[in-house]
Formats: sequence, structure tokens, C-alpha cells
Amino acid sequence: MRISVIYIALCFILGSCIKEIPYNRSAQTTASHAVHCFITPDSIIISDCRLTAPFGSKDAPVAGADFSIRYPSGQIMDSSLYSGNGLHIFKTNTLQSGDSFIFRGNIRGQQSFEIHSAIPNAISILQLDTSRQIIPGIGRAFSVAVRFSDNPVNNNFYRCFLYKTSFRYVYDYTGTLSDSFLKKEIIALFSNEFPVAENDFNNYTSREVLFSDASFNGVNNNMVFYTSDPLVKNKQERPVGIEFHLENIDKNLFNFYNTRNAHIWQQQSISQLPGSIIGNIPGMYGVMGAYTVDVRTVNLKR
Amino acid sequence: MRGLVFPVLFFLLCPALKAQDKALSRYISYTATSVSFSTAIAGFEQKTGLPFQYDAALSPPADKKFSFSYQQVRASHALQDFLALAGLRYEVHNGQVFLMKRLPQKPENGFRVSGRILSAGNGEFVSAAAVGTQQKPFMTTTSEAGFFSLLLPPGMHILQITYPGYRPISDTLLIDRDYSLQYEMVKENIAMDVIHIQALKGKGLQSVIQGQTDHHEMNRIRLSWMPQLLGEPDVVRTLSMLPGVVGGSEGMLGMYVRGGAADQNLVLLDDVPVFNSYHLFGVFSVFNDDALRSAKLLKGSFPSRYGGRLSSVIAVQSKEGNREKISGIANVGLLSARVFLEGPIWKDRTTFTLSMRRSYIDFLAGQAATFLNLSDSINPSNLYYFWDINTRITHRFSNKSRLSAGIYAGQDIGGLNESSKNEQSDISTSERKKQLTGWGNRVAGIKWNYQARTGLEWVARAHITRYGYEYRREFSFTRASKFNPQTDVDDFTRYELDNGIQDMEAAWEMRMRIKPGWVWEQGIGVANHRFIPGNRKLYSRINNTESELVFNDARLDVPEYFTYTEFQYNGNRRWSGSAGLRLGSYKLPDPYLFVMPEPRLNLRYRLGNNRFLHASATRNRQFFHLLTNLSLGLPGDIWVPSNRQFQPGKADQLSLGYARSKTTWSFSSEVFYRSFSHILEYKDNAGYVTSGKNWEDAVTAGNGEAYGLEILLEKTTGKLNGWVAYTLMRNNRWFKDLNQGHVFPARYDRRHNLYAAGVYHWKPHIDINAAWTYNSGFAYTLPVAVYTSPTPNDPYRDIFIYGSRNNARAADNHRLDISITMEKQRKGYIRHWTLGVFNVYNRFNPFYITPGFDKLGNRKLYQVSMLPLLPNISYKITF
Repeated sequence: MRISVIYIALCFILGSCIKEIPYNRSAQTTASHAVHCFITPDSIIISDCRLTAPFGSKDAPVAGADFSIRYPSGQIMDSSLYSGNGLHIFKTNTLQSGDSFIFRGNIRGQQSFEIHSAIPNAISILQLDTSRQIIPGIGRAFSVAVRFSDNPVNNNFYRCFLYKTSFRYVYDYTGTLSDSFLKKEIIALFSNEFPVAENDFNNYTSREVLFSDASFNGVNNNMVFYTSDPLVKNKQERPVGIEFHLENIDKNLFNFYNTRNAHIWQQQSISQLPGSIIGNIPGMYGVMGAYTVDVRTVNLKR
Repeated sequence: MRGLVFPVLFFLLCPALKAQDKALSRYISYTATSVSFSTAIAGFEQKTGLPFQYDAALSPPADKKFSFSYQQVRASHALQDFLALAGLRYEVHNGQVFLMKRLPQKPENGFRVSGRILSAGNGEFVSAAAVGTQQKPFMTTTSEAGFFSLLLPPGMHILQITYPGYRPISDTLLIDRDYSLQYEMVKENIAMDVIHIQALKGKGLQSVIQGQTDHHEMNRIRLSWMPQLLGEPDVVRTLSMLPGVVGGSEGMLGMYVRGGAADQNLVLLDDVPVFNSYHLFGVFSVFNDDALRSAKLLKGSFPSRYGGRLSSVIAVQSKEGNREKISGIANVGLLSARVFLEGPIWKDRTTFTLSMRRSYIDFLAGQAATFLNLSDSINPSNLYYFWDINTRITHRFSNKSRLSAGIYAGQDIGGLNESSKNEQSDISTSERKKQLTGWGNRVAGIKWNYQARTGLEWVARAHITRYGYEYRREFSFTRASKFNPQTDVDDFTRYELDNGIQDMEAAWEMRMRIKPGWVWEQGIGVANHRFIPGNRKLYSRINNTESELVFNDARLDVPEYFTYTEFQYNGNRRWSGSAGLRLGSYKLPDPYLFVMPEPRLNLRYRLGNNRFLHASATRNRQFFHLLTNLSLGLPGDIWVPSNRQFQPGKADQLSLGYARSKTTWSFSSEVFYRSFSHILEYKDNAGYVTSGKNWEDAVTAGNGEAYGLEILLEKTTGKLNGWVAYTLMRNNRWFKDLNQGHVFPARYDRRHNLYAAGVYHWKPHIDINAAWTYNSGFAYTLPVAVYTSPTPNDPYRDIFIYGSRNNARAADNHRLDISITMEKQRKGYIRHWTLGVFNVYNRFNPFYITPGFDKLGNRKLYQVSMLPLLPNISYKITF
């Protein structure tokens, strides 16, 4: 009995200090549209269109919007078909790196918009080396040294991230292996390189690294990235490979990704108010951006 | 008859006056040793050539001898000086010098009674003691140096001196001349039993002194009225319960005074600024209560000697030390232990105080982990602790000259250690990760007080104060092979970050009575402010190759020259006040010079017995900015100077107050309006600034205003003592770059703030303390809408759309704290047990608000609370 009383008292004292609180859902006065479209050569183009919802509710997919991609002359290249859940899919994608185009949107009840853009130059990873090493200030890490070319004509913006593919093992209560599966996930990626450190927004995420060519314009650049994941096998996991993605993104996407990462980090911050995300859709939220990508896969030793 | 002779002679002999003046104007040399009065006068007759006439009855007794020496001084001056020794004066009529009885010099408004009050127990100066007359309401309080000065009309007066915890003093004075006095007040507990001590605790002191409704003083008695948080009494927590002060987040000591920010308070320990005045992220202040004598909170019209901050001055005075014997306090609480010692080094001349404190959360957690077999998961070195030490030495050269030097050092340290080892048959590896965060103050100051003469006192002082933040991260990896030592590895890396601020200052100050009722304060000083925005060092030893990279942001030294002058008037029964100007100049290396005038005007009008009206108008300027985030001050926040882009902050304030006091209670109320300009806030989307590099890009400057009503009701005698404070306030901000330029409420725009604190002397040796606080909820920004933002590798992220800034309110904040203290006199010491409960009814007050998801994945809003019901116990002995 005495132990029960003590237990109840402890629960009372140290009980959860987190509780749900009510809030005013009707604060949103007018719903707005959010459009996201990411265009890269040789990939299906999808335009996602949604209607903002009051905080606490799910946003609503918008059907029947009319999106089209046009040549700079205005001639239509392709137009979208609605495939449900706010997704508008283009049948073909003939855009190549360096191509200019117009992205036009027309949403019922909204003013139509038109965005002039171009696919960035093709990106090419010239060399990629990996090693396990001690990174000053961090500790033991898996590093990825990348050499890639930079086009001297344009101001280029880059984004890179790292996938890990690994076998995961599941054990039952007796410790016997009961299941295994292959999992692919993004793992943390950092860099001490100057172009990365120069962009303060990289502090907000470890999922990806964003940088510009301002400090190495036009040269074949060497950069070292590392992940704090040591990529070593243990009882629960056996890494089998990594996939390094390097994207050449346009400036709209660079601003969008930077501010989006900050916004998402700040949502959970008790010290900072989330800032707004920089997009390029007139009168709406979201972004339309173009990028090229090069991917290198490294298989890890068993 | 004799009274008629002189006027008649004067009118008859007027034409001869010029010749007589000439005779007394000549320079003479006249030296005499042990001569009688008549002999001395005969000498003066010879030196001046004028005959002297006087009534023999007025002359001093023949056996009284005089010694003097005048070298080349005017005869009139020498004669005047000599006659003063005999209590006589002279007048010249028709070529003759007539000696007559010296009349009392009667100033326009009376005579000056001034002096010092000392504590008989330890010889410390007693500040804020009430000095006044019994019959008429002539009243003042002693200064920090125990000095008082009263202007009294001629006649018989009974001077009364009172201070809580001391026996009152009554002294009958015939006011027919100026007096310079010194009183020693006797502590009530000397040679008395515990019962008497308790009876005296009822004799409190009003915090509002002489109708100055925006100044509050807390002596040790009042500090003891507050319940202790986790067994720790805290002066800043007590000051936070005064009107005009709004608390920060629950449990945090951030003080927001009249709409200001936490960095806008000038916190002084013995006149030396302390940049970060909190331990444990703001739960405790850095001041060890045992070592403190008093604390002041000045909310509006600061005296001109204070400057450089917009909102308030918190001036904490430490004890000087017992002049008679070694005494001390030892205290063991739930979280920390502390000890205080004071005593004489050279009796009646030199005293010392020494206080030390250390928390032992780390030690207790380690012991508990061992006891509960949780050592693997709880590493004591991963936990947090703080310590501080404060020492002061005071030397009295004489009653007029005193030198005092003090040192304070305090540190908060948090660590995180991880290590692992892997032993195989031929190879063994080990890894060790270590992180350490530390922050703290180092303060040293020296001060020399000198009373040159009655009514003239000057102070020379110098100090150095530093706040530093450090972060260390180390990693080491070793691999040793039994069979193949060539492959051994011993790698090590270390990252270091330091930032901080350091001030050095030297100043000379003077306080002089320039005429009856008028006091002139003047000061001049020079300071150097050193900003250390961020030093980073990366050291590595990898594959036996050492390297070190150093990235230091430019350290900035900004010299400051300041001066101030202030005139205080207290010569009228109705009106009193002060007017002053402080002028500070800061020179940036650009070069760019800021000259910042800070005018102060302060008026009081006595409506009647103990009823006052008070009005003030002030301008305060602040050169430093603390780049702090929305809600919480973090130890790594950096101080930056103003520059061409960001001007020094400015606050203008008007206030009008009323105060009334009776024997048992007092009431004060004040309305105020304060405007802020050039204050800084982070921009939307700005990264948190951790170094001095490009901080200008992260912040924006704007304006603010705060206005409100403050009410304070105090009961200062009887079994129940305490106060109730209420503040009604609005606190707004507007920034061109924030909230689309529209006005928005500040985060700590708490509309209603009600505090009640008190002590009930239940039994002679048992006190019950209680404090209840209520604040309206803080403002925060609630998203108004949401949408999903899919990207190719991160498809399901909700993005919030925000309306206006701080558009929602957290729940109101309130809680009750109670403690009971039991004292008992033992042989040679008194022991105190304190049992307390923090947050008695376990109110979950909001610490911050955060969005999240419930178990079903629905978007929700959550309130995170800290500090639920917390019982505490502490044991203290005083000897």
C-alpha cells in the first residue's frame, strides 16, 4: 500500500508536462493555392496543386487545374492531366538541359500565371571516392570526396544528398532472426567545405547540403562530404550501398529548399519563429523549379 | 542699554568706515603659543593699529590658552578665525573693533544634521535606515555608505533612527547649529533569545522609500519573506515579484521590466556589472543570498550615475563583513550547498566576507544511478552543475576613508561523455566522445570611499567584468594491434568555440552638499568594452599528423568616456527632486562616434504626512545589444555593439506616482509610458547568430512602447508581513521588416500580473512563507493555415502559414509556493530547517507552445510545461 502511494505521488509529481491545448481553427480567413512542380530531363513531370486548410486540418487536393509547358515562343509543348489527389501529370517530357520553357498554370477561380524558366546545365560527377576516417571536430565518419565540373557561364546552385541502402534484420523475443528487408533511406550529410559553410541555411538540416558556385565558378571542383553514420554492420543492420545525388538546381529551387529547410526546423524550435518560404508562383504558395542530376552508387563490402 | 550703544555709534561714525576696512585688509603675520585671550587681542591691536573694545564678561577664562599661527593673511581673516575659537565675532565702528558674542548662524531653512549609521555588531554601514524627527515629518534614509543628511529648523528635536532588526535610536538634539553625528545601531538579536528575534521580524521596511514609487529596496528581512525554490533563496526572484516586473517563461528568472527585454537590465554587484546573472538557464540567480546586504530595483528614473541600459537597474550590495568576530552560515539544500564566512582580519580596520556555492545534481544523480543499478545509462559526468565564489575585503583607514575590493567568479558546466571499447583477440579499439558547454562571469572591483569633509564625499572605483561562453567537442579513436603494431591508430580531434564580452572601467565620483538642501553629484569615467564575438579552433591529430585551424571573428574594442552630473534638492518640506544628465561617448574603429545624452528629471511633492506625489521624465540609451532569440535567453547569445546600421537603443519614459504610508502598511501606485526605439529582433528566416560574422544580416531594428499601471500594497508590521503587487500593462512592438510593418504585441506582453508574497510569524521560532504569482499568458504566433509541400525526396511536409505575429495567447501562468522555517537556538549557533513546496497545486504553466501530431497523425498544438509540484528541504546553521 505504502509503495502504491509513493508510486502515485511520484506519477503526480513527475507526470507528463506536455499536454494538448485548444486553439482557434477559424483563424484562416481565405484559403490559398499551393503549387509544386519540379522539372528534370528524362523524368515524368508532376504538378501538385492543393488548397491550404486551417491549421489542424488536412489541405485539400485541387482537381482540374490546367498546367502546361510551352516553348519560349508560347507554343504548347505539353499539358497536364489530372490523376487524383491534386497531382497533374504531363504525358511527355522532352526538355533537356539548357532548354528554356514557360510553365503556365490556370486554376479555376484564380488568375492564371506564367513562369519563364530553363533547365540548368547538365551536372556530371567526374570522380567519387569514399573512405572511413576521422573528421576534425566531428569524429569517426564515412566521407565522400566528389569531383564535379562547374559551368563558368551561369551562376550554378547545387544540392546533394545521400541515400543508404541496407538490409534490416528483425528478431523475435527469443533472439531468433524472424524477418529481413531492404531499406533505402536518406542519411545525414555534412561538409566543412567553404561553399557549404557559406550558406547558413545548411545549419537547419542534415538531410541535404545546398551551396552555390560563387567561390569556385568555372573550375572542376573537389569537395568532401561526410556522414556521421559510420555505415558499419551490426546485428540489426547490414549496409550494402550508398547513393550520392548531386543536383544542379535553378535559383528558385535553391531559395525554396533553403527557406523550406529553415521553416521545417523552426517549426519545432522554441526559440525561433518559422519564416516564410520563398517561392516563385505568383499569388500562390509553392515553387516551380528545374534541375539536373547525376547519381553515383557505391557498393559497400560485405 | 548696551544694545542701543552699537547702532548709535554705527550711524555716527559711518564716514570713517573706509579707513577701518583698510587697516583690516592689510596682510599680517602673527604667531602665538599658549597665550591668554587678552594677550592675543593685544597682539591684534598692535598688528592692525586699531583699538579693540569688549566686555570682559564675554572673554574666555584667563586660564584658557590659545595657540595660532597666521602667515601673510589678511588681518580680517586672522581675527575672524581667532575669535571663532573663543566663540566671538567682531564689528568695526569708527575706527574701533568691537568684540561681541557670536550669533548662531541661522541658514534660511534651518541647520544641517548629517552623519553615518553603523551596525554595532559588525561595523558595517547601515543603508536605507530611516532617520527622522519624532514631532515633525522630517525624514530621510541613509545612503549605501550609511550617510544621512537632514535639514531641521532651530529648536529641540528628537531624532529617531530605525532599521528592521536593530534597536531604534532616539536622540534629543538642540538644533542651534549644524551637527555631524555617528550612531551605532545595535542588532536586536545580540544577547537576546530566539523569541525576541522572531518578534522583531515584524518590523519590516517599506520598499518604496520617501515616495519614490519607481524605486524599491529590499533588505535582508524582506528577502526572507519569500519562499525558497528548491531550498534556494533568491534575490532576483524576490525582485521579480514587484510591480512593473513581468516574468519570462515558467521557472525562468528573466526579468522584463516595464516592457523591456532581459538584456536591458543593468545588473550590478557592488557597482560592477554582471552580464549574465543566472545559473541553470535562469532558474537561479548568480547571487548567493547569504552574502547579500540589500538589493535595489530602479525601474524608471535612475540616478544619473547609472546608465547604458534601457529598462532597469538591479543593484545588489554584498556584506562588508563582521568587524567583531568570525561568523557564518552553512546551508545544505536539495540542489546545492553553500557556505558563507565573515569576520575581521584586523579588528575594527579590515574585514572579509567569503561565500561559496556548488550544486550537486551531478553527484546525486550518480549516487542514485549506482543505487538503482542504472550506472550504464546515467553517467554523472554527463550532467550539469554550477558553482560560484564571492569574496570581499574592506579596509577602513579611518571613519572617513574606506577601501573595498571584491571578486566574484561563477560557472555553469554541462557535459556529455560517451566512450566504448572493443576487445578482440588481436585488436582492441576504443572511442571516446566528449562535449562540454560552459558559461560564467568573472568580476573584480575595487572602490575607495572618502569623506573629505561634512557634506563632501567622493568615490574612486575601478572594475573588470567578463562573461564568457565556451563549447568544446573532442573525439578520440585508438586501435592497437598485438601482432601488427604498424597499423595502430591514435587519432584525436577537438573543436573549440568561445565568445563573450569584457568591460574595464575606472571612474571618479563626488557627492557634495553645495548649499543647504542641495546636493551635487558628479562623476567622470572611462571604460573599454571588448566584444569577443566568436573564436573557433579546430585541432586534429590524424595519422600522426597534427593540424590546427583558427577562425577568429574580429575582436572589437570600443572605448567609452562618460560623465554625469546631478543636482538633488531636499530643502523644502513640500518639494524635493533631482535633475541630472549623463553623457556617454562610444568610439567605433570605423571611425564613428556615438554621443548619447541621458537626461533625468525626478520630482516629488509631499502632500501631507507620509503622502507623496512623484513624477519623472527620463531618457535612457543602450549601446550594447544582446542577440537573443524569441523566447529564451541562451548562454551562447552574443553581445554586439551598435554601429552605423544599428543605432544605440533609446527609451523615453514618463511616469506619475502616488505613495502613502502608515505605521502598519503602505501603498504606492504609478502610471508610466515608455517608448523604445532602435531595438533589435531577429528577422523572419534568419539563422540563429553564433558568431559576430554578418550578424547585421540576421536582425532588424524597430520600435516599441509599453504603458501601464502599477500598484503595491505592503504590510510591514505585525505577525503577518508581506506585499501584494499588481501590474496592468501593454507592451507592443513595430518593425518595418516584421509583421508587414504592423504593430504586434511583444512576447511578454502580459496584461495582468498579480503577485502576493508574505510571511506569517506563527510562533516565535516558526515562520510560514507563501507566494502566489499570476501572469496573463505570453503571446506566441499560431499558424493560421497549413499546406503540404512535397519535394522529390521529402514528400510529406506540412508548411505553416502565419498571420500576424504573436496572434495567440498561452494559458495564464499561476502557482503557489509555500515553505515553513523552524529555527532553534543551539549552543553557539542557530539552526534552521526549511520545508517547502514549489507549485503547491501542481499547475502546469506553459513553458512554450509547439505543434505536433497525436497518435493518429492528426495535427495538434501542445503546451510544454516545466517545474511541476516540487517539494524541498534545506538545513542551515548560522553562527
